[in-house]
Amino acid sequence: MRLCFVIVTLAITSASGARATAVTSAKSARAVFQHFCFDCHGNGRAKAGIALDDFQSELDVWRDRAIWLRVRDALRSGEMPPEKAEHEMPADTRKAIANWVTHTLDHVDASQIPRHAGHVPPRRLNRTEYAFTVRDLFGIDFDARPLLPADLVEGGGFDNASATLSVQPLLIEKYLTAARSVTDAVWRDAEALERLLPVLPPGLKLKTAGQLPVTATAAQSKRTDMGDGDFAVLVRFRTKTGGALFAKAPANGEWVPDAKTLYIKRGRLIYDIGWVGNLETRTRVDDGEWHHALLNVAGGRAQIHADGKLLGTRRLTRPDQATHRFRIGEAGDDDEFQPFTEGQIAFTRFYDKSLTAAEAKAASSGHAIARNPSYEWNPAARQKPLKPAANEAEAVRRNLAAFLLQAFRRPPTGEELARYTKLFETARAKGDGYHEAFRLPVKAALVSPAFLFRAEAHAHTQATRISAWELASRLSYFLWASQPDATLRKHARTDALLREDVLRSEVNRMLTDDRARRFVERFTLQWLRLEGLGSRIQPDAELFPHATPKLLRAMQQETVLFVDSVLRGNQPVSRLLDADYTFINRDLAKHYGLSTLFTDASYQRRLTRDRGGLLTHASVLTASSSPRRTSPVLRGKWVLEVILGQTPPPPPANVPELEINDQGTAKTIRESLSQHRNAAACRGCHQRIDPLGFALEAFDATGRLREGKTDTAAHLPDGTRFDGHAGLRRMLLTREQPAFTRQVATRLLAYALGRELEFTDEAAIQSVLRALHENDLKAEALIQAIVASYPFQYRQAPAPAN
Amino acid sequence: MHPIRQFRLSRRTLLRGAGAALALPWLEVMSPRSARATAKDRPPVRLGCLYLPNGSPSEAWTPKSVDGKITALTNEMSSLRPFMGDLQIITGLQSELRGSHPAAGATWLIRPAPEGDRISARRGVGGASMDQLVARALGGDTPFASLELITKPEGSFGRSILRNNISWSSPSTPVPRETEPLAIFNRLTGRGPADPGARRDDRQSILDTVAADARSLRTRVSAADRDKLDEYFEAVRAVEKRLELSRQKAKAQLDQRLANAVAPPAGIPENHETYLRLMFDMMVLAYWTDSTRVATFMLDHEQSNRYFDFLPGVKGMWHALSHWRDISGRTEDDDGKTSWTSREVKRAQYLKVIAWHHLQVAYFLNRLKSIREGDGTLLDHSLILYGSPFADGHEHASKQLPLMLAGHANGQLQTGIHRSHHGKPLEGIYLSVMDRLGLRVEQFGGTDTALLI
Repeated sequence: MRLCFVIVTLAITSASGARATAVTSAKSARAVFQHFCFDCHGNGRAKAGIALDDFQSELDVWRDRAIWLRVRDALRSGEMPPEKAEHEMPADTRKAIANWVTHTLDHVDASQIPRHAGHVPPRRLNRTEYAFTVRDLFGIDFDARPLLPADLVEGGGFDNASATLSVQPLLIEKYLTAARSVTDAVWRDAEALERLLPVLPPGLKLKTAGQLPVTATAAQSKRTDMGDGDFAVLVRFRTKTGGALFAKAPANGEWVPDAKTLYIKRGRLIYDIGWVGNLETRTRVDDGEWHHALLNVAGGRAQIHADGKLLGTRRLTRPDQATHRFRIGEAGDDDEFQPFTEGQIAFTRFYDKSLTAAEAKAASSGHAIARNPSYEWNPAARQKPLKPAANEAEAVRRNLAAFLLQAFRRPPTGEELARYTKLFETARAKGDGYHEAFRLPVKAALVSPAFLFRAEAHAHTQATRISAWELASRLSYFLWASQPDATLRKHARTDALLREDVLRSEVNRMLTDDRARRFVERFTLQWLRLEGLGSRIQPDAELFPHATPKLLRAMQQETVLFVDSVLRGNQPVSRLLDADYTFINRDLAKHYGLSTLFTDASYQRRLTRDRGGLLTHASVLTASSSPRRTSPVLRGKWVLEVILGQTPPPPPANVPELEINDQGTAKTIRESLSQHRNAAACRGCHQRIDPLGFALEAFDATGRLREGKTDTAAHLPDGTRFDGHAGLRRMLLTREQPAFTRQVATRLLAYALGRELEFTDEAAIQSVLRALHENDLKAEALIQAIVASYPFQYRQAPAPAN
Repeated sequence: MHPIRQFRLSRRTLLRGAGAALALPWLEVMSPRSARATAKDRPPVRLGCLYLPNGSPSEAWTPKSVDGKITALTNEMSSLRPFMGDLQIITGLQSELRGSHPAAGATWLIRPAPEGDRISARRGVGGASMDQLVARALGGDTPFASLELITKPEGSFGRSILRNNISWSSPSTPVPRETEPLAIFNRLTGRGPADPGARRDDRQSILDTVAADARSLRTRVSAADRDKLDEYFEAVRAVEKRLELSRQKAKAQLDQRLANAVAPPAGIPENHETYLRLMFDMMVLAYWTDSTRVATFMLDHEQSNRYFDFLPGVKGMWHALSHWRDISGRTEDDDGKTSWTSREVKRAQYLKVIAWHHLQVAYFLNRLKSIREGDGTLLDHSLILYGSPFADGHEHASKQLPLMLAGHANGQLQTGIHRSHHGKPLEGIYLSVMDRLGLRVEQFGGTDTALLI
C-alpha cells in the first residue's frame, strides 16, 4: 500500500514538472509540496517550525488547521516559496494549491475524524468562579475577588480554560487568607450562620419566634446598606439590663467617632449620633416586657418613639454617611454597646425613607403600617426552623455532611467526613464554642482540592459518560459560573439529570435564573474583547473628553444586555449582527444623539434606526479603535477574528512603515492604507482586512456617527462589494453566514467546555450547528445542543501522543 | 545620569541599620542544614534573574575592553560604573527561535521551544526555567524556594501568560508573581492582616487535612489528571515547609532582621522609580534574611507599553519606542497620539528608557554591596543575571543578545571583564550559572557545553 502511494506520488511529480496541474486530492497536493517546499519544510527540516512531509491525507490538514492556515496565507501572499527557492512556483500552481487548502479546510468530513470526548484535567475555579461559588455557598453578599490574584489568559482564550489554571504555593497562601476572610464574613452574619449550621445539639436553644436569645454576638448581627438622609428603624425587644439595639457603622464594622447607635442605658433609650452628641429619653423600657422602639430620621431631625409615644427629638447637623452599614444587636466595644446580656430582639425593620407622624405612632404601637420595610431581620419569619439533633456528634455530622455536599459538589466520602469532623473536634477541644468550632473545618474545606478543583472521576481511554453530579457541576459552571443549587443537587442525587427531558428543562430553568447573567457577561466581554473598556482601553481624553470611564462601562453594559436579550431571550443568533433595538441609559442616549427622555440612569430597550447589531455598538467600535482615531485595520481585524473566527497571520518582520503625513482623517487614512493593499508583502491579508473596517468608517473612535458623509464603500478581492455597516452586516449574514454561525457555536462550546477545541471535536461542532440550523438559529437550541453534545456529556483520557 | 552616592535612603528604607552594625557572622546564626552546601563555612550563593523587556541594542551594551578587561562602559550603562569590578558583560550570545515577544519572554530562562513561535501555555513552553530548576534542587533550606516578582502591568498585554512569565515550574505551569511590595513583605515576615482568634497550629491542621484530601482525590482520577493534583499537593507541601522553617527560624537570631524590618507602604507606588526600588528592597530583604536564595524580577512584562514620560525628553510607550525606525506614530504599535521627528531622536529615547532601568539595577547592586555578611557583602555572595531576550528591539534581533552577570558568587565569577561568546547559545551560560549555584546539569536547552563565565 505504502509502496503504491510512493509510486503514484512520484509519477505525478514528474508528470507535473514545472507546469501546474489541477490539485484535486491530498496526493496531488503532497506532490506539489514535495517538489516546491520539502527542501526547507520536509525531509527532517522544519523551518519556522513547519514540516510538511508529515502530511499524507486531508485528515492531517484538519488536524493541524492552524498550520495549514499559515501555509495557505503564505502561499497566497507570495511569501512562500521565497524567491531564492530552488523551484519557482508558477502563479497558477500557487493559486490552485492555496485553493485546495481552503477547500479542504472548509469541507471537513467529520465522519473521517476519530471522535474524542476531549480531556479536561481537574480544573481550578478561577477567581470569578471562586467568588460566585463562595457567594452562593454561604448566601452572603461578599466579594472575594480582591483576595485572589487575577488569572492570566492565553491569547484569545477564556479565563476558564483548565490548562492555564495552575496552583502554586503563593496561591495556597492566598486561599488560606481568603478562607479566613470568608469565614469571618459568615460568622458575622447570623442568618448565614444558621443556614450553614441548621442542626443544633440539645442544650442549645432553638431560635424560634420571640425566643431569640440576644446573648447575640457579632456573629448574630446582620448588616445592610443604609443610604443618605432620611430613614427609619423599628425594633421590637425586651430586656432587663440594657445594651445595643442597632448601629450604623462603616462597612468594616469598626466603631468610629461618627458611627451611630440606638442603645439602652440605665433603662432608657439613647441615640448616640456621633459628633452631634446624644438624643436621650427618660421613659424606662427595661422591665422585661415587650416594647417597640422607633428611630425616625426626617428632614434633618432624629426622633425616638416608643410604644406609640414620641420620647425625644434632636436636630442633626449633617446627613448620614451613605457608606455606613447597619448592624443589629451590637455596636462598638464600649460596655453599653454590647448585646443584651438578658433579653431578646424579636425583629428589626429598616425603612429607607422616614415614616410620617401617623405611621410612626402606629408602628411604634405595634400596629401594622401600609409601607413595607426595605429590609427586615426577623428570625421568627424564617421558613425553615432549626432542626434538633439527639446529641452533639449527630448535629456535627449532619451539619458537616450537608455543608461538604455543597462545597465539594458531590456527597463527601466517609473518610472525608471523618477528617472534617476531626477538625471540628480539634477546635472544640481547644475550648471553642459549638458554632465557633465549625470555623476550622469550613476554612479547611475552602482550601481543599475537592472545593478548589472541579475534578472528575477516572477517565478511560474509551469515552465514558460523566456522572449526574459531574454533569450538575459542568452545567452550573457553564451557565452560572458557580456551584449547583439545591434543585440541581436533587436531580444529581436521583440521577434524574441524566434523563434528556429533565436536563432540557433544567437548562431552561437555569437560563431564566438571574445567575445566568454571569455567564452572559463573562462570555460576552471575553469573546468580544471588551473586558478592558474603561481600564486598558481608554480613548484619548483630550480629543474625546466625553468618553469617561462611566460611559465606557455603560457601553459594556449595553452590549452585555443586548447579547443577553439574544442568548436568554431565545432570539436567532443572527440577531447579534442584525437587530433594530439596543439597551441604553441616559449617558448612552446622549452619546448616540438619541432623545434623552430618561428619568434615571437605568437601561431601557430602545428601537434604533441608524444602528443595529454588535458592529454598531459603541463598545465594539471603541475597543477596535486607536485612542485618537479610528483604525480600519484594527476594526477589520476585529471582525475577521471575533466575528468570523479567522486569524490573519502577524505582519512579516520589519514591514516598511506606511507613509502617512496627514491629520488622520478617514479619507486620507483610506488613501494611505491603499499602500497596504498595493504592497506585495501586505496585500494578501490587508485586502481582506481593511475593507471590513472601511465599512464602519461612519463611526468615530468612540462609536459616534461622524458628521457629514463618509466614504464607507468597500470591496473584497473576489469582487464582493458592500457599503457601510448595513452593507457589511448583509454581507456577513449571507456570504459569511456559515463562518459566523460556526464562530458563535465554537466560542460558546469552548466556553462551556472550559478548553480550546480540538479537531476531534469536529463531529460535535457539526451536530451543534445542525441543531442550530434546524431551529432557525435560535439561541436556546444552540445552548441545548451544546449541553447535549458529546464532549459536554462524556469524558475521556487523553489520546496517547502519536 | 545620577551617580550612585546620590541615592537617598528615604525613611521608607527597609533595612534600617543594615550596615556593619548588624552584620552577623554566618555561622552564628545559621547552622548549615544542607549537605549540598559547597562550603559549609560560607554563606550560600543567591541567584537573581532580572528581566529587561523590549530588547537592548548591542552597541548600547558592549563595553570598551582591553584583553577582556573592561575599560569603559557604554553611556547607557554609566550608572553601573561603580560596579565595574563586580560584573561581567557577555556579548555575542544568540537564540534562534525566540523571535516574537510572547515566545521571547516566556522562554528567556528556558531553552528555545522546539516549535519556535508556536509555543503556548497549553502546549507547553519547552521546559522548566533555569531558576526553577535551581529552586527545586536547592530551595529546601529556605522558607521560600523562590520568589517571583514583576511590576504591575500596564497596557494591553497585562493578562498575557507568555509575556508575563519567565519562571516556569513545568512546561505548562507559570509560577505566579508578586507585584505589590507590601504583599511580598508580609509574606517574608509573616505579618499581614491580623487574624484575631486564629490559633498558630490551625493552619497546620488545615494543611494536613487538605493534603489528605489531595491524596484521596488522587486515587480517584486518571493518571493524566494526577499532574494537577500533584501540583496542588506540592504547593501545600511548600507552604507547610515554609511554616516549619519559619518556626525554626523564629528561634534563631536571624529572625530579628525580619522582626526589625520596616514595612513598605501598601499598594503600588505612583512614582515608578520608588516602585522598582521597593521591589528591589524586597529582593534584598529576602536574600539577607535567607528567606530565599532564588528570585526573579521582571522589571516589566515583555512588550510593555508603559509610558516613560516622566523621563525628560521621552514620550510614547516603551514597546513603540523599541520600534524606533517607525516614527510616524501611526503604526498599529503606536498609541495614536505620539510621533517623533526623526529616527535618531526616537532611538535616543528608547536608549534612555533602557539606561533608566540600568540605573535601578545599579541601586539594587548598591544595596547588596552595602550589606555585610560574614567576611564579605551580600553582593559577594550573589549571582545576578540581567538581560533581555532581544538585542535591537526594532529588529527583534536574536543575535548579539545583551547579558550581564553581577556579584561574585563566592568568588566563582570572574568580574571586571567582557566576554564574547559569539554565536553561542544563551543556554550555555545557564549551565555555568547553575553550576555556580551547586547544581550539576548535564544538558540544558539542547546544549551540553557550559560557556565560560
